[in-house]
Amino acid sequence: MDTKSKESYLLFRLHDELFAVSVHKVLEIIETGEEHSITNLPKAPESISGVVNFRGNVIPVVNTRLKFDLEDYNEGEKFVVIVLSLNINNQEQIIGAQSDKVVDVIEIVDEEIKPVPDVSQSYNSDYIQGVIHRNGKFIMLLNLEDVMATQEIIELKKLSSEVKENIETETQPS
Amino acid sequence: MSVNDISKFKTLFIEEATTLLNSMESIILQLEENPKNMDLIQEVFRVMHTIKGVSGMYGYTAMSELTHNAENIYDLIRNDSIELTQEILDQTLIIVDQLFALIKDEHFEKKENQQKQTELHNWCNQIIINNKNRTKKVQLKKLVREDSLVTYNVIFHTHQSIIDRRINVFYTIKDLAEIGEIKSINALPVDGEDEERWSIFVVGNFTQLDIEDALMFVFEYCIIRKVADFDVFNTEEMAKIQKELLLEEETHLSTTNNEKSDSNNKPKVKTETKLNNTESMIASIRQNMNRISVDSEKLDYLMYLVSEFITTSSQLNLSSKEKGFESIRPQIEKLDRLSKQFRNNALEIRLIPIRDMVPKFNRLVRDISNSLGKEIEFATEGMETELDKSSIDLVAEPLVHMLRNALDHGIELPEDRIAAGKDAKGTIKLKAYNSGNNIFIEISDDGKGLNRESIIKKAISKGLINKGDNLSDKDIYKLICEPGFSTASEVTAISGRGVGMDVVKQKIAEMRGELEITSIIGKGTTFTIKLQQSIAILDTLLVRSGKMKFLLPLSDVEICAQMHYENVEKRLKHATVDFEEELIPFVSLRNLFDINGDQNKMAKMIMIKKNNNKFAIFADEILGQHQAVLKPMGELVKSHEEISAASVLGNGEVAFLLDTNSINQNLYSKAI
Repeated sequence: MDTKSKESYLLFRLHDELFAVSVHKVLEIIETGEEHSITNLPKAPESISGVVNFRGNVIPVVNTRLKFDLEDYNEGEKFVVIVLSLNINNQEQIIGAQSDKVVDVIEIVDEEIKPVPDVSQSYNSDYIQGVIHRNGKFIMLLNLEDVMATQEIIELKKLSSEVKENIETETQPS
Repeated sequence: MSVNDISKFKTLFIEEATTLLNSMESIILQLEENPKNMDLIQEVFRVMHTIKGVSGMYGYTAMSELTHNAENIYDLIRNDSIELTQEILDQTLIIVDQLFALIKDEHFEKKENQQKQTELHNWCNQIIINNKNRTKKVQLKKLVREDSLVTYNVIFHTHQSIIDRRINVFYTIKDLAEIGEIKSINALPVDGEDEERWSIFVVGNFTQLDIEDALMFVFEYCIIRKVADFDVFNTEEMAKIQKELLLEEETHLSTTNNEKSDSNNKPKVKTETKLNNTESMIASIRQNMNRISVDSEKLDYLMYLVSEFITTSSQLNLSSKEKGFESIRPQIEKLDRLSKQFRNNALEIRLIPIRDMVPKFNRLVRDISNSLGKEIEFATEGMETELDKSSIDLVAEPLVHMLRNALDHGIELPEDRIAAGKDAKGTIKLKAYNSGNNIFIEISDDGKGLNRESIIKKAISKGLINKGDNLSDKDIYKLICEPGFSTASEVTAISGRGVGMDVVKQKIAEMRGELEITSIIGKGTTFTIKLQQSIAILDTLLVRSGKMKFLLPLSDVEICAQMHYENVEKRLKHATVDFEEELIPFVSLRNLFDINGDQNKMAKMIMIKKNNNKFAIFADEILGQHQAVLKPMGELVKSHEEISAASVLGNGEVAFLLDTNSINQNLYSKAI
């Protein structure tokens, strides 16, 4: 039965979108509270909310909502920081990514992952590795290396709706 | 052995070969002074032999061929068949250079290396051919003793430490086979898993010295005994002798091994000429080899663990105090103390004596002074002073620049020196010492000194200063570190176009160090670099502005005072405050980092003194001292000018280290 290659993914929510990231890239999930508050970093790029102490090291935290052109967190709004180990420019970098909520850890079979069709020329579809359709919901597999390496703000809403439309039209005839 | 293992050993080999070649360089330079010193010649032979062995093992064939030739020459030298000439020494240095190049060119692909290799091989062969007549005599002598066979028994005890030193047991046996015939090799019983003991019988016409030579790398692990003046394997008594020897050996091994090798060493010592310098050099090389070389990445990881441990321990300390766990307080306090000791110890491991850099400098001075036709004595002092590994790596480059400058611009030509009433031989001195938490490295020469007037003239013509500016000597000397400034009337190949000194200044600033120049015309110049011993740990002052916390290097803090925030704000547009009758430039952290929110009535002023400049920093509150373990902040936030690193405080909060150097520069460049 288990001949198909499976991998575990961490499922997290940002605004009203669901994302998945391979658990191999996740080092820790920091529940921010008094002890682990994000220290603001003055004069930092807009998409960086600050730095946080991760096991004695100081790591930058990306404000994923701003990064994806979503509404910023309100003062006092709860969030978690997913600590990721990414290979950016051939260097291991540890980065925190703000997320609204960690939903679940799920197993995904390779066949489930649908490639992203070339959506439109205005967006770099490289940011999304693939899409999974499960229980009537779309889960996007992010290509975090590319997302984090770029300085630009990604207009996620447009990107995701276009991706979904495309996939739906592609899958309908069958 | 998996592929990974091999590549791991390869890096070990590269490390080891580099150390060996470095030591070889310094021995050769010593030999130039004392070409008759047998110990030094022996040492060269030994090092060549080791490199030959290990490079062959790891597939660096070109290296092992070249060392093989070089080793042959030194073998002839130590047998008195060839005289050690300056030419041989010069060529040996070239061979060393070639070996350095070959380490980097594993597959021997570079054209220039191949060409050089052929040249060197030809030279080696020529030397050997030229001396063939003489070597024959030696061989003849050996032939005379043809029928005097002897039997030796060697007990070879290997354990983990030999294997760690990567001495291949089979090479040892191969070396033994070259002097005689190996009649038997038997494994002996051992106590531990890591150990192996072998009993080896060798028959041939050789002397005690020959066998000692063959075993020179594993000498301390061997017991060498002469069994008989004939070939015992021809007689029936052999088995009996072997048994006896085994019995004897078992009782002797643990106790007498050291004594034996000691007494064996003694005759050698007698032949040594009294040259303290040489002895200490060899001692230091040997000491070097006793050291364990560790991949610096492993040390970095250790440091990471230690600092995490420290942070956790002080968090534990803090929260147990708050929550009142009185019963476990003593243990927690002990843990706190231990963790601090642990950290200090781990930091010490990273310290390396400055001596390790000296051979390179010796070579540099020798080569450059030869090419310039200057006579120079290179003196060192305080080379045992230790510096963090990362600092050593960083400081080497500016030191080389400064040495080149001293050689090229500082020291005069011999005839000029005599004309000035000085010794024809110039002296350049490298001196290092500790003072408090700082390390000072000085490079001084007794050359012509810096010419104040010509520096001023040049600076005016370059628009660096204005005519009539009243500058102190120190300020004037600092001008030579400005980009594009060169006082040398001729641009030379050695110290280039005066780009050197501004690179020096920049590199030193990167290490949060300082450079000071003093000079007396006609007497010489001294460059002093002031560095922190460790750049990973810093004593700092912790201050707060709004919700943010900042660290200031404690050594830069001159005085603390306070002032009404109203007054500070009023002075913002003037960028200076009046303090003790002096107008001092300042930054307000609130202003600099756009910090809003509740503000006290009074601002705390921290006076910083950096490179003889003073400036003030205003913060909301001074929280106290903090021994900061500095952490880089990663690529994403690297672009920060005023913040150079971050540190995690005892309670897990993050504080930022202010870069006083760059703030200083910004303030003063604005003021001008």
